[in-house]
Amino acid sequence: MTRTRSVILDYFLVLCVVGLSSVVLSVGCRNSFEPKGPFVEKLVVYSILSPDQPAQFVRVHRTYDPPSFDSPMHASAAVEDAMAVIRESSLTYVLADTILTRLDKSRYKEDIKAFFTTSIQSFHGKTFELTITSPSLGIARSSITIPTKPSMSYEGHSALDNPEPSPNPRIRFSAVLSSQTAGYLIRMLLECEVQRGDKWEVRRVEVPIGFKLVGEGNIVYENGIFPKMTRNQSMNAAQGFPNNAYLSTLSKVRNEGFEKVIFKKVVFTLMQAERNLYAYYNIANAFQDPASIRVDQPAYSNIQGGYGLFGGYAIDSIVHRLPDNFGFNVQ
Amino acid sequence: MSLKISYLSTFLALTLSSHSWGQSSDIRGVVIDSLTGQRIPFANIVIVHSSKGTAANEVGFYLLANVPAGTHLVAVSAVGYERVVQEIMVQEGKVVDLHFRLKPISIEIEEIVVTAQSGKELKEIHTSVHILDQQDLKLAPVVAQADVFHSLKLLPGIVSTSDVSSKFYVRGGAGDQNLVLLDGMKIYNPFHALGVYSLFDPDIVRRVEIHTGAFPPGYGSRLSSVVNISAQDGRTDRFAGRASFTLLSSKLQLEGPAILGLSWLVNARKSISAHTFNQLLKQETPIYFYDVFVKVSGQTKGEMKYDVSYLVSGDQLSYGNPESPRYEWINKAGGLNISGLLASRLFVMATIYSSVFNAKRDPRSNTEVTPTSTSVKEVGVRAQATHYTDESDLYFFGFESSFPQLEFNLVNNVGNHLRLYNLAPELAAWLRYQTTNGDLQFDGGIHSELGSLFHGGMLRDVLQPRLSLSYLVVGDWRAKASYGRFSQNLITVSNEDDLISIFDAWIRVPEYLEYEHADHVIFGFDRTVAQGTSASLQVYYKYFGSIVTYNQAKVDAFDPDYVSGSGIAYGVEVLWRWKYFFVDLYATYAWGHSSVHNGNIKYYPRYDRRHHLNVLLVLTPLSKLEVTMRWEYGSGFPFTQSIGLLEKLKLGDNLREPYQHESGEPYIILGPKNAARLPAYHRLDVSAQYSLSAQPFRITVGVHVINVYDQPNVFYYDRKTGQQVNMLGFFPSLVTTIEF
Repeated sequence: MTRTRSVILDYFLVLCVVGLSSVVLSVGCRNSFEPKGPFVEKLVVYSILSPDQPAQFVRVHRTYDPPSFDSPMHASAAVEDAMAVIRESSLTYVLADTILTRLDKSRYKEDIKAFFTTSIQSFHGKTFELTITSPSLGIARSSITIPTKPSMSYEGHSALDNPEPSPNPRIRFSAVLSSQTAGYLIRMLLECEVQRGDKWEVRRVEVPIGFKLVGEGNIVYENGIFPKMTRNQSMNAAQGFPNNAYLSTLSKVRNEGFEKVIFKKVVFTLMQAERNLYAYYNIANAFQDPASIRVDQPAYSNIQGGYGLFGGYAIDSIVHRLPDNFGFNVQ
Repeated sequence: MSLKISYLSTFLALTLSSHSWGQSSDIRGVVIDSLTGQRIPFANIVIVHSSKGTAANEVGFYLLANVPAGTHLVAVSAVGYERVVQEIMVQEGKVVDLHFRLKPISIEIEEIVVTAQSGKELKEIHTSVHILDQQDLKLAPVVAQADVFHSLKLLPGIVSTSDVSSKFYVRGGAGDQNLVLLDGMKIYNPFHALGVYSLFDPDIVRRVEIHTGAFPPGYGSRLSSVVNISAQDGRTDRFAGRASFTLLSSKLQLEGPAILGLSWLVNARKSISAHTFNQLLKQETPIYFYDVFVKVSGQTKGEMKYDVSYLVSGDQLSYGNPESPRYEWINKAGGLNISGLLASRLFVMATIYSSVFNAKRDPRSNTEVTPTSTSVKEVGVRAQATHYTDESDLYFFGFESSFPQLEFNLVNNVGNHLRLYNLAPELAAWLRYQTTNGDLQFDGGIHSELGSLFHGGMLRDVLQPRLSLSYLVVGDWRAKASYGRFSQNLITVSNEDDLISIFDAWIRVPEYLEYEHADHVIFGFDRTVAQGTSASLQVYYKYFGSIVTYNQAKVDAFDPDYVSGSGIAYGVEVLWRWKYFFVDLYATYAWGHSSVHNGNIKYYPRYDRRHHLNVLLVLTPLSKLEVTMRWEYGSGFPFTQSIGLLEKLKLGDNLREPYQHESGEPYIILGPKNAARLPAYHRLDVSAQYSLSAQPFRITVGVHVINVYDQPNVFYYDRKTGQQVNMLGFFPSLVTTIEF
């Protein structure tokens, strides 16, 4: 009896192997292979609401599917039948179409099809909804909320008016951020009027926050380190600017060969990026993580029905006017 | 609770009172090859006309306890050796030292054995253990040269994602979850030539023990498998040698006796032509490699044995063009193994070793490649003891400690030079008990990992139970069940979607994450007959409670690179062997399913294979001729389809530049991760080997043909060029070996 059951088990196992092999062979040896998934042409949208720009733009592209990768003959083409609308509360902005000049045409040859409006005047705390409608490619949507106004202050009036060669950051900007702010960028800009020949022009030069260590004589403007977008962690933001960084900026402008230089003011700007812009920017730039060992390059998109980015920021500033007899003026 | 206390008390009592048992009538000794003087592991020793019997351990030591006084016939048998029966007089209270010297069966009548573990597997109960000897490793047709890891892929549950890689994945586990030991030394990068071959020449291997799941308490620190390689001892009877030539490499192995009863073995391999690699990989691949293995062994007249092993290997990938980067890999491992009786019934095996792995990429004048290097430097000690009580109860216990220093230097995606350095101590102790009660066998214990003390100061997953049960159901069929919990604190860094990883840099699991851990549950039926059909059916389920995965929600430097994910793997494996006269047929089939859960994303890892079939047919129509055919079928691996491209903007320097006019870069839009499958893989390999004797030489000539019908198996699809890259096509090679 035991022997019989054992033999039955043997045969069962043989049958299993033969049966499974047959199924596998009949099903599996068909070698159809499609390395590409089904291509569905979609809208690619880039728009960053920028209060410091006179017009707001929406770039509209489409996805593409070249027969082989990176063929210059097959690239992103303009979407001819699209319409762009931005809504904010009860206001509707229908954007006009335009062509933007592409500065680098080494990869993509065509100029950029875009839409623009100059009508949007108020940004702080507003929620904007972007809709791109294309009869051929469908509808792409996204919405963002621009951060509200921050409260800002700065320290170091005396250091600004009477620069000293000290590395200590006696110039300091601080702010209380909006709750909609995901990331912020604080910049210190030095504004001056310069004369070359008969011509006067206004120049803005950014002040660094430190210097790269490149040996002796590293405290020169060219070795400057500039502020980066930073995550809003505590609603409070601050940035110190060392005196020697301020001095190096003044020296740089003085040494550029202008006949006259009149330093007019120092402008502290605070850019508050909403969460989509902050996420997109960081992910597209290796997370801005100096300690990351990740080698992948993921993508971020907040466009429903397409790809790309609809983002925005608020920008606010405080101005410190320099004295007329500022010691670094060249007159 | 009371049961646990009782168990512990019994164990301690037995251990501490071992000296008092010196008065009992034990028979003990070692089993030795009469020709070479080498120990024979796992021989069966029985007292004729009694139920008493045991098996020798891996160093050939056995102990028969409590043998009644009187005259007995003791029989010893081992696969490949003539059976020996010896009469022995046992006197009460007097231990009998009885060593056996078994005579090998002459080569002409030696059977081809695909898996020679019959005795051991039954004795050790486990569900997922395979033991391959040197003959097994040489059975399958070779790709230019024989390779240990290529042979492992015949086993159910082990897959490789490429013909040209000996990296393997076990039952849905990742490639860094396999523990590789050579004579007890951990080898961190056991590969040559970008992973095309392993470091281990089959000629140095005496035995490979592979645990594909629920491994016993003596092993730890990895989640999926253990590959424990025991190297050959040198011959003690005479000087011998073996030279081998292939289209890829040449090799010389010498061995022989030395003074003071020692024996030695030296094996050296060196690649001789990169041309073969070019043919294999279908592109210019100027890889050069070498490895040298040295072993010195000694044994006393008693049971004590000691070995010193040393392995060094080097690889270099160096193009003539100075604008191409240069790669170098170096492995060095040395260890001392000692085994012997510490007390009358306490047999101890101990290993102290050092293992070093270095790899680096030198960009030379290439500006697009960054310099990278990695190293692992480890010193470790491992000991295990076996306490013999009677033939059905065995106690094992041991510990392991190692201190790997891990270093990884790289330039990351934002251009920063990083140096990651970790000292990641691994401490473990374990206890195991094995008993038989009628048809029921039990093998269980606890593996205790204490390394987590050095990982954020918290003890986690300290006690890891390992249990195996086996029950003789009917005839030769055994029902088996196993359970085990495992943890791992070292992982390799690589893009998990890379097809071939140039560097497997080891790092410690980040402190903000818990150790990787997994649970294995296995059920099965096994039938093993010494010289005939053997079969096994196993069902496994693995739950990866914590595995380190990319943090998909990472936005910036405040977010960690990695997060803890989870995964599951389950499957069915069938193994069947049938032998009839000169035909030996070995077939395995595995159905598997594995998935990884990372946040809200669930995907199949790229080594997830549904169906995997291996058929190996060995024909020995003449004693000197061996013809082998191997057919492998595997359903397609997952891959992520490209579904188009878009122009991706980077948004300039912290948005200082207006984005309106920016020209972006082409970005490949990917479909759902690993949702599509590559086409099925199948390949037929054939080899024929003929041996002839011309005293004192024995010459073997082998012709191996890979992919006889030139099946274009897809290796990968290059998203950037649109090119389909296939694995090995029709590839003949010749192997000539001269032995004396």
